[in-house]
Order: sequence, then C-alpha cells, then structure tokens
Amino acid sequence: MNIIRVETSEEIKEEHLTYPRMTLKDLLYYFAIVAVIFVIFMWVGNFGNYLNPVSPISEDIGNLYKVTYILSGVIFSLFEGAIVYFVIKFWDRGKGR
Amino acid sequence: MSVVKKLEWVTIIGAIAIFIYLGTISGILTYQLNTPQVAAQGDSNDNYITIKVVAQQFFWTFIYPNGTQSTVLHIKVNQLYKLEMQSKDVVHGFFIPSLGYQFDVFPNYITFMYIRFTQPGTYPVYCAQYCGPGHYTMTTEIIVTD
Repeated sequence: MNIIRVETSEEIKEEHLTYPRMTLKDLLYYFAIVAVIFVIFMWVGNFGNYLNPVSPISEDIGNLYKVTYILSGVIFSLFEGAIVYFVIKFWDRGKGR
Repeated sequence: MSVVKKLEWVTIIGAIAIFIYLGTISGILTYQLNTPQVAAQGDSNDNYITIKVVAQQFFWTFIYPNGTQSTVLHIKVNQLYKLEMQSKDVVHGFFIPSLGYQFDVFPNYITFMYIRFTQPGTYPVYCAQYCGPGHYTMTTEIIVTD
C-alpha cells in the first residue's frame, strides 16, 4: 500500500524561506570553472592586446580596450561559470529526487 | 540583510562602478583625441605639419605643404601631422585600423585629426563609410619612414 505524503502549507513556506548553502567544495568547483572560462576568454581575445602601440593615441586606445576586455571577461566568466556549474551540479542522472 | 541581498547589492554597485570608470576614461580620451599636445604626448616637437586630405569616389588624395600630391600618404616617424580632410562628393570615413580610430569626412566641411607614428612601416587606410558601389576599393596606405 502506497502512502502519499502531503506537505502542509507551513512546510512549503519554510522550504521557500531557506536557501541551500554552498559548501566549500561547491565554491571550489564553481571558481575552478570560472577560472577555466576566464582563461579561455582571454586566450581567444589575445589577452586583450588588440592594437600594437604605433602611436601615443593608439597606445591609450589599446589600454582602454584591454581594460574593457578584461572587465568583460570577469563578468562573462562569473555568469557563464554559474550556468556551467549549475548544469553539472543539477544534471538529471536518473536517480530521481 | 541576507547573503543573497548582499550579493545583489554588490552586483549592482559593482556594475555602476565599472560603467563610471569606463565612461570617465573613455570620455577623457575622446576629449583629448583632437589636441596636438596629446597626440605628441610630451614630445618637445609638437609643431605639426598640415597635410590636406581630399576624399572622392573612390580614392584619397594627399596634398603636402609644398603643393605636391599623392594617392599614398608619406610621412616621417615621430613627426606630428595635422590632417585637414574634406570630401568632394559624399560622406567618407578615414579609418586607420592600426591607430584604432577613424574620422568621418564630409563635403563642405573640414574635419581634422592629428597623427604621429612612433614606428616606421606601412599602415593601411580604409574608407569606413559606405560611399557608393566602389566603396570597398577606396583604400590607401600610410608609409612611415625614418
């Protein structure tokens, strides 16, 4: 005989109020993925080196490009790293909940 | 304040800080782009030589101070030049990829830009505004010599 357990409204409310905490292992995995994505991003863009400094102004423009590229890389890798991490962590491996 | 809320604020404030930083240095650079002192950057020789640039479908003409003309720009390394650019017909764009910037060239209006190369070489120039069916052929070179 199967018994179906029905959650009370209090239990549901409590579940929604608590956030699952990331363990140290989770954080290490996440930042490892972020680091890998960041390195790939930088490698693809020649580490932000877009212009050869053949002129004082082009040197300034090149530096500005590099700063913009690195900051974009940090933001990109943080968000993409989160997506990749969640895909791996919550992959449905057929074990059910 | 919960951890999630704190992270949310860090994201918002961090994004604002990044945009303010990039906007400020971009603004300063853009403002200084057309000043000979910046183009020379501390070089005592900030006396520039003026070269007129005439754009027309589909080639560039450079007129030097002594009156000679050429379709390829010949300049000296480390010398500051002022390019006075004007179009004979439609809007063109004087784009030097090696420098990373370009200026539009209009008919009946003089646009000027300062250039100083610190390395000799040959640098391509493209028209960066669609100016007609031969737009893609409107290229030239800047030859920088010692």
